[in-house]
Amino acid sequence: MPFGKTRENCAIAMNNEYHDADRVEKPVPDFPTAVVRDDRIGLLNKSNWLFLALTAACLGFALYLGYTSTVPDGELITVHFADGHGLKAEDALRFRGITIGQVEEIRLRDDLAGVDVDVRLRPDGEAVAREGSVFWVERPQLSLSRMSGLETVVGAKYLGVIPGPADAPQSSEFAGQENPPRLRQSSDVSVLVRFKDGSGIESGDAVKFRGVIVGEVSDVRLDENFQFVEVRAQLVDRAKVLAQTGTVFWVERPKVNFRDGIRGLETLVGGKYLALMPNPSDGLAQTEFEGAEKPPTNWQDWTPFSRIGDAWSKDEKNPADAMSGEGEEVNDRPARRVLGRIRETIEALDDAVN
Amino acid sequence: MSGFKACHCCGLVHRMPTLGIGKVAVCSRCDTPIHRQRAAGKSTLPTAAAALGAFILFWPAILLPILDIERLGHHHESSIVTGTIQLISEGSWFVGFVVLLFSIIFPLLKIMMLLELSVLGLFHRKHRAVTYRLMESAGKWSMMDVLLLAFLVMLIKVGSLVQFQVGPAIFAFVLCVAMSMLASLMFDPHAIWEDA
Ligand SMILES: [Zn+2]
Repeated sequence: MPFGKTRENCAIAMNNEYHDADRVEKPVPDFPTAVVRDDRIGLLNKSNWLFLALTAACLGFALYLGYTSTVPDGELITVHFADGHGLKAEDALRFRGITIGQVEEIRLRDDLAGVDVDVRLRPDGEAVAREGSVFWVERPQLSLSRMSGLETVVGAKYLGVIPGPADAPQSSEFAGQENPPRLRQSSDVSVLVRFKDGSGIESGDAVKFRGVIVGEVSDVRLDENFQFVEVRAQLVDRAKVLAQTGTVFWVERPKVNFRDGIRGLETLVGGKYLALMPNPSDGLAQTEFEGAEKPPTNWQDWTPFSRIGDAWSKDEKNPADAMSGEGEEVNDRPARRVLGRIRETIEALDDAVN
Repeated sequence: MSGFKACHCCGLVHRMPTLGIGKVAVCSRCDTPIHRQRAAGKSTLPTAAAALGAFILFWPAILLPILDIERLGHHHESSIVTGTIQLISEGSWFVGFVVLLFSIIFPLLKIMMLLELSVLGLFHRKHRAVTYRLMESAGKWSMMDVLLLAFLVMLIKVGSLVQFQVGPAIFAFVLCVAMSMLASLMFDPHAIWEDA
């Protein structure tokens, strides 16, 4: 008898044996009669319309979801760049620190002369789609003292924008800038220092003046004749005035005092840095230097000269400064914060020097 | 008298009394409803409606973005389908196929079979019994509800490390799970042979 049959077998057993009682030849055992009750699940008893409405509601909901998530809700603009800088679809367009759009697609132009970046603006960000708006690919540019991996650690690139004048007409095609506007008229100065011995200096090491980071080593390589080590360094912002005739560069290794124990991670990891001492008198702007093998003897005692910066003062009027007020709020990223701090330090330094 | 029916739950065979409209016959041993007489329409209608709803919602649930992950500024939207494709294309064959099988194929099979049993009736009566059993076993392995739980746990646990935003698919997904559960709950296997 089918007592204790499993759920699955039950149905098939009924099909074969019990559905048609007449077919059973053996005398039918005395089966209990099922108890009849009022159907308490009233819902199942209600009209068919209820269930059809349920299906219709599902259909409506599915269509609604499909519609809202496939039909884009903002304007599409195209920005042309010469270099994509690793920008990807789904990267953000940010303004004043918030996302106002998303990169939808990046296409190589047919003539291979650049890339077209399609950006879908959010409705509240549509105002930036007007003539005169400046777009650029924001990416970590300076990796100061051992933060060279910043780009991979902190990750995504994004598009930055500074909107054009408020009364400018609408536009949907833009030519992107290669660099963020604040660095566009870059106040950084690249200097080249030749050393007989690299002393282990590496790209990404800091350039320090009086123990303060004023720049970064961007490249270290041997020259064509294997005679020198060429160290390229960026001096940030106003520290550029330190690059003038007579400035001495050397590779400084921090002294580790084992008796007192090693203090600070800096000593362990990024020990070396490029140190510099400016010319004690007025000099001319210069970007190529011969590195010194040893620090000048009295470099700690160096005193400010009267008119530091004269050599570079012809481009004192710096358009980037005007922009940076705007940029400060847009950039909330660690690299920028570090840069900002460095800039403050340099400004303080500059004030002290003057 | 309409013959004999076994209790779906405990297997006890009952003599079926004639049922009036709005009445239900329950097992004398375990109280499980064996057969109910609906006031109007076929007894499979509730199942059919719910299964159809589940079927409709299934597509937005797997195709629309279900998660928007923001990690260190990188945005990534993924649906169940694109996520599975990504898993497989990145070489995670095993995990990819497990997800494909248990989150996409089995749930779809279950819904399709419920539909077949309740409305379509494409197969011969004999085969429908097989369909029913398949549905029962496929249903056990359709892990949509488990996937949903996994999502919720993930949202709570990883929430502080990575920024999550649920996509529109999650709503379709929840409803789809609810609908297919409702459909299989309301399905009365006796209905398979009732009207043939
Ligand atoms: Zn029972």
